[in-house]
Amino acid sequence: MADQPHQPKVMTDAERDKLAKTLDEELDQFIEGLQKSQYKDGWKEETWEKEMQEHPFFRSKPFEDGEELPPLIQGLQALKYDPSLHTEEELAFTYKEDGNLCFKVKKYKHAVLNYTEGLRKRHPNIELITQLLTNRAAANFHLGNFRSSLRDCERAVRLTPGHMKAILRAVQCCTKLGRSAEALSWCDRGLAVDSTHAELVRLHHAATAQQRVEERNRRQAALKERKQKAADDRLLAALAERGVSVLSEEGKPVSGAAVRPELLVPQVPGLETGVQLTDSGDLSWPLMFLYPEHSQSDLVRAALDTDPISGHLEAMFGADGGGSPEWDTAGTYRPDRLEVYYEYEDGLETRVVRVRTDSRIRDVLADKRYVVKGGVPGFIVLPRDSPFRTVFLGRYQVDER
Amino acid sequence: MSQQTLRDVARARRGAFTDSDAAISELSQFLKVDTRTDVKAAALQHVLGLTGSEAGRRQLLAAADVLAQLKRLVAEDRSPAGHDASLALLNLSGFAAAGAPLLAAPGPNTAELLLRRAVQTDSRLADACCMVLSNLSRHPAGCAAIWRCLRDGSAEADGAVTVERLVVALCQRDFNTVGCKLDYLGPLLSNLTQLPEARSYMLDRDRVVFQRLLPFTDYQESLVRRTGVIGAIKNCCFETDSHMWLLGPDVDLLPRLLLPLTGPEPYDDEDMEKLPVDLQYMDETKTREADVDIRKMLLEAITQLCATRSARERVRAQGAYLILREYHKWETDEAALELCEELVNILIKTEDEIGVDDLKAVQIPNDVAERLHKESAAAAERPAPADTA
Repeated sequence: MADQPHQPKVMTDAERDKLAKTLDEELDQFIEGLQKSQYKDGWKEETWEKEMQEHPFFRSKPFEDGEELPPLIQGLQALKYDPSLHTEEELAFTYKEDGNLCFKVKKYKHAVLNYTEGLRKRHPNIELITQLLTNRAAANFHLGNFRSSLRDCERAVRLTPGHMKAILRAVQCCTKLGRSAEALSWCDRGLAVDSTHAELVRLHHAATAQQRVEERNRRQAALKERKQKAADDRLLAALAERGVSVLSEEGKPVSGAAVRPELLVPQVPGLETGVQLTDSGDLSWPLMFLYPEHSQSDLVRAALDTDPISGHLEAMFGADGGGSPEWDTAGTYRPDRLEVYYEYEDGLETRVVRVRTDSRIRDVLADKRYVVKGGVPGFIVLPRDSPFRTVFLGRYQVDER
Repeated sequence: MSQQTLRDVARARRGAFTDSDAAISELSQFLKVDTRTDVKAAALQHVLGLTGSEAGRRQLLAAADVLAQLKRLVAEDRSPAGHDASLALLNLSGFAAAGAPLLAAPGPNTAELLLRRAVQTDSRLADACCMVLSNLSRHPAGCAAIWRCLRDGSAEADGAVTVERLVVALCQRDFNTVGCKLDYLGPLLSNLTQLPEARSYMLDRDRVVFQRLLPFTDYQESLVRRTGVIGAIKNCCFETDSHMWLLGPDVDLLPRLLLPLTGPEPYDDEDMEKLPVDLQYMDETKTREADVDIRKMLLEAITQLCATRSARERVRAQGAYLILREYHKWETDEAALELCEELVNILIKTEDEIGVDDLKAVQIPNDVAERLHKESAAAAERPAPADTA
């Protein structure tokens, strides 16, 4: 054999393929020969999506309130906030940053909680505390807690006078609370620090305009109140002049100066207007006519007190008026065959008084025995020809006028 | 006779309360800040006595070192002596001839000293200093000196007094915590705003300065303050370029000018809607401005605002005519009625009838101009009212 340098064999394609196949087979045999081990502690095929969500690195959505945190995340949390691992200052800063993150994603309640925790650390770093207070004020503002927000702004400015962010927030809070005078005073505090601060100047103009509107509204309300009081006084004077008695809240009849507008409010559902003083100086009353025989009633919304009762009976039952109501099956309710009564308390017993139908309402109400209840004078109507009348009246003592 | 005897005779002739000029100068050593309290007090009483007579005042104003000591007392002395010194300066300042010597006297800069004291929140001398400033500002030299001080104060950082600080001091409730009212800052501002540079500062749109004056156009507690504020506002109304800003929402001046001219008469609902917010639903106890000079100033200010067409349209739109109509029925002073009628004439004419956009650009014929000049010169000759304590 001659000593020849080793020449690499030049393979043909067929030889190359055969070599590759041989190597593959050898590898397969080697793998088969190895000890098999189980794939444990890994994500199962059925649960990998859930597992992924529970991993702090792969979590894709924020946690809902009350959702339990998976163990890995709880562990990280414990590390992050462990007081033995961090100084008070670091923790306070951490809470501030967390608060800021929550604020960015508009989770304002969480932000407030974070800032509060940061403040609870009581670490005496004035800048940090001012920022925590100002940021908490901002978060509370977005939650609509304007009073709490304003308090935090006050504290922040007391710590760091001239802290513009807190001053601006305070102006906004006062504006939302409708306290424009306070808003202006905050603007002035800010302008004392920076007299050409464009936003403060703009807010000052807005608060001034708001204040003028508020003052106008106050004047308008005061004027309305005065007018109402004057109208009430005129009405009460008219009632006193006519000797009308009204039932008080304690259930006693009162008249004259003891009558108050609240006692005149009609207690009948659906009736908005009670007794009124007309422009011509007459009183207009709502009236209730009761027909105990058939458990029916009629409501007259506005009757002049100079009207005779008979006029209304005519209007309700007369041929030209309402005619015979459908409940009047016996046909006894004819205007000329009706009698009118009212009840009153005489000491312990209830009595009824018979009223002449040609009496004016005004004269009936002027009677000392008549007491207007629930803002609507009521009258009992009985047909003269009905047996019910006798039964009904038999229960009372009757005053024949 | 010897000099001494001559001097005695001279002294005797001038009466018990006058001293020689040399004696007055000697006073200055008893007015040092660290002089014993009772000596200082006696010297100050003497000075105050002198300020009560013309001869005494003349002598004091000639004694520059006394004036300097008085100023130093105002600057440094927190005891009642400082207060007495400020009263002495006040009595002196009420006279036209006092301005120059007071400003020129050695010692601390007069204008700066007075301004600092006036806006010092815990100074009991503040009111007296305001009054001295008010007096000094009535004459051009004094006014200019005070303005220079304020203008330079804007350039400095803290402590220096700016116009803005003056306005805040005047307009903030209880600015002075020891009972000084600072009402005389009103007339001071009124005099200052006769200078165009001061007006320009007051009308700065990037600040809140002018607006602070507005609530005081019907300030009942002080006629002096009210007159001063309305005077300052009226002067500012001469700046035509600022009219639309003054009439716009950032200032909204017109209703505050109309408010003192508004009475308790109710308007019907339709008219009420046309009125600006400040003038709606007036209480039936509302009274009009009692001082006729102020009423005239208000009318003049509103008339100034009617110089240009767009401003006129704005004034009309804010219901000025409705207010002036009722005011005209109430007013009895002839001059005021005339002013009112001229103003109403402008308001009820249509723009076509007026024809001219800027009334101030109208050419005045020569003979009319001459007559007007003569009249205004005669008005200037009349003495101004004295502001002394």
